[in-house]
Amino acid sequence: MIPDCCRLVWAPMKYDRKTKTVTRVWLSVALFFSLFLAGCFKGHNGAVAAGAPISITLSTYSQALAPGGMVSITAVVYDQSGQGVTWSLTPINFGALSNPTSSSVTYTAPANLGTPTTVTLTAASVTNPNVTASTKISISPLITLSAISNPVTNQQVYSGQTINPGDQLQIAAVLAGAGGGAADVMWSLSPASGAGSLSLQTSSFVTYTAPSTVASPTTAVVTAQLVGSSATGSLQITILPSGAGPNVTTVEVNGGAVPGQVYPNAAFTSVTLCNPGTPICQTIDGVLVDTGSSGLRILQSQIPLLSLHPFVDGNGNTLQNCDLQVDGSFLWGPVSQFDVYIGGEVAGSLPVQVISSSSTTVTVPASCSNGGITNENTPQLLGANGILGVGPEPTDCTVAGVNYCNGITQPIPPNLYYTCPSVGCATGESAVIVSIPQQVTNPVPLFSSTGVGSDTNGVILQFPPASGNAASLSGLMIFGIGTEANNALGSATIFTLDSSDHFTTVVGEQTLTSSFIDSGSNGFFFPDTLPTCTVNAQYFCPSSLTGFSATNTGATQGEAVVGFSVDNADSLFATYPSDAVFGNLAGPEGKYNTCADGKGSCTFDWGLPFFYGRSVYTAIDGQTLPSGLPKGPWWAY
Amino acid sequence: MNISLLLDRHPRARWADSWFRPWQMAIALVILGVASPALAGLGGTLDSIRSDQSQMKATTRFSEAGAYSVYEMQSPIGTIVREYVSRDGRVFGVAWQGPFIPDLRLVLGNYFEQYSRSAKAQRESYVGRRPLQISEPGLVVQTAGHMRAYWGRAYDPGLLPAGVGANEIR
Repeated sequence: MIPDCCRLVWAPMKYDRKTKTVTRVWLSVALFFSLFLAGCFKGHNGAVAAGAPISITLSTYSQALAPGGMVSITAVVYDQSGQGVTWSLTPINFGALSNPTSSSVTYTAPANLGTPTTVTLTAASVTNPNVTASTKISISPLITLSAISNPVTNQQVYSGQTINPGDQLQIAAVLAGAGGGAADVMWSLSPASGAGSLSLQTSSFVTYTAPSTVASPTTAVVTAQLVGSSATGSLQITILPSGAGPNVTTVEVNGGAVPGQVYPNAAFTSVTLCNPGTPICQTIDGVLVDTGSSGLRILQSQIPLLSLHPFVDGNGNTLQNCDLQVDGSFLWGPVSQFDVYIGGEVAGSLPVQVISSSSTTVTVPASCSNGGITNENTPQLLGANGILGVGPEPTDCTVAGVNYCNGITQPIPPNLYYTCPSVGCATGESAVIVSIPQQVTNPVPLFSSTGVGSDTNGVILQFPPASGNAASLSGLMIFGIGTEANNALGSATIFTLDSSDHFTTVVGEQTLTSSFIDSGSNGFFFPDTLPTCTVNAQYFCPSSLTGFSATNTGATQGEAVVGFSVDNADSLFATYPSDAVFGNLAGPEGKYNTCADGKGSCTFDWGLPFFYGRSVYTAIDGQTLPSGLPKGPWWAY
Repeated sequence: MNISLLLDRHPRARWADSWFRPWQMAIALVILGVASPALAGLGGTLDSIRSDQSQMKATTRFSEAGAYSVYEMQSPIGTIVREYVSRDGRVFGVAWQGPFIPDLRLVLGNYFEQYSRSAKAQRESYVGRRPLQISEPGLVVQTAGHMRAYWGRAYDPGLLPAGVGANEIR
């Protein structure tokens, strides 16, 4: 609806197209009224004219939707250059925008939410992005699928759970929001055959039975649709062929969960976060599995149902975390506690970094942003909905037994933690000392030992071979080393690490003394003379497939030869644009043959392609390992 | 700015504490021989370093390698920064190594804005996580590593002294 005060101006402005004489007159009028326009539209949550006679009028300025509901919004744009608008949503990713054009867009509300939420849809002029118009869309919650009880293990389980063939789960549907009563729903199972069955259905309960045998990991989705509504809730369950236990979950190299993006060579899993001690939970898929970092980091836009439980100091200031990346980008946001479920494991009250999703309202200290290269605060920029750091260290402050943030070894804190008032940090904010229980923590050492045994000492990532490229690849993440029947070390070779968590890789003439294994790197990265690509300049582009042989040597034990190949990244990406798996993807790190005395380009970064066809073990520093094995941290494969 | 006054106030100050404390950064700037607002680091001059050398013994190592000198500064949090200085007193290359990325505005000096623009353009041109490689006519930057173990170097090819190869910056 156009505010009345603005209609007065809007109407005559349309006439100025009719004759040149009239145009001149009305242009003057329009200019004269531009200040008036600005004030008027601001007051009505509408367009803000910025001096130039551009205006935007939306087809609606407020709208109520049910979960899963859709609405199309149209913009009438007055702009002499004929340009239209671009569309954006706040909070980012709460629901989805589709079919955007220069004058219209369709908004779809999330299918589930726990509390009433209002989103703001904004149209910004292409000619002058300062000219905007916004509409508020309010969405009320209806239903969520919640606590499932597993009669076999008698534990609560959540979406992303892996179970054995023949297992049964009891699932309940509840109304979300304040009431939280039983919902009146219709149940369904997808796929309809081969994924088990539903029985004992009532209006709010159902029993799911997994198939008695499966040949490969099989995914079933149980969905409840509220009677008389389009609102649904669903739970995803994966049945593993054999040896599945609560310590197993699936990982997928599938390009990721961000629409329109294919993230090559990245392993994703799903993680369930719950408000501590409550059944109020959300499952986040598209979370990058990263053995090169420690701690769970989740985009705030992905957990609208949850409430933050941040650490607050005596002055009421909130603890904030900073994570600087090698490529100059950074992650910023509060440290908040959640009960975190991964597969059947749970880390209670885990300190998690919640990545602040609204860059317009958050000031990041200059010592964190280190130049403000890229704040990775959207799924598009992050390439994921979060990062699951399951590396060889217990927190993001530690390396080789030294904690740099708790003030003991290092009295001056590094740029990892800040405490800031509710209005936000100052640009010149100084870092603070943080005790270990408040640091962003690798969830594995905090896994509960009740019921499932203690799988806290490490992680195994396991993938089938992929010599060339493929659309996708499914693997397993198994928790614990030598703690269950399914996670024995077997014949794997252990490579111990030096004081920087590195081992040595010899490739050709180079002895690279700062080498590491990192599932969060999406290729083999090392110094070499191979030509870099023209289009994808950060990768190698040899004229033909080039074979290499390298030798890895641990700090005190472990030696093995690794063969790998490097293909032309430009032709791979051009020929297979929708593939996510590239076993021969590599790129330059530093400069060839400049490593000496531990200085220079001394790194071979064994990224995700190294994991294809292997079981790679990461033993975490400070954790108890089976007798006879060296102390962590180490890698084994 | 009076360096002796600053150091008297903070007799135990160490240069590389400066990554995160403004007053320590001020000391660093002074020690690097730079009057505000220009920063030292890459492209800067180090005229005052020799006179301040006695104050920096605890954390700075100085070595000569023919056509240039190397100033190595180790912070208490373990990150080492090496500055490569030509005979005419100009920093033509920098390298860093350790558990934390140093303050790049300080280390890259007047090249920081160029680095920032290039790194941002690169980061937003692809999906993925990998080391940085900037190779432009006036600036080369390379980084590597992972959480709590970083390495990087930067230099201006145009500032390399005669007979000095870029490979020596590491």
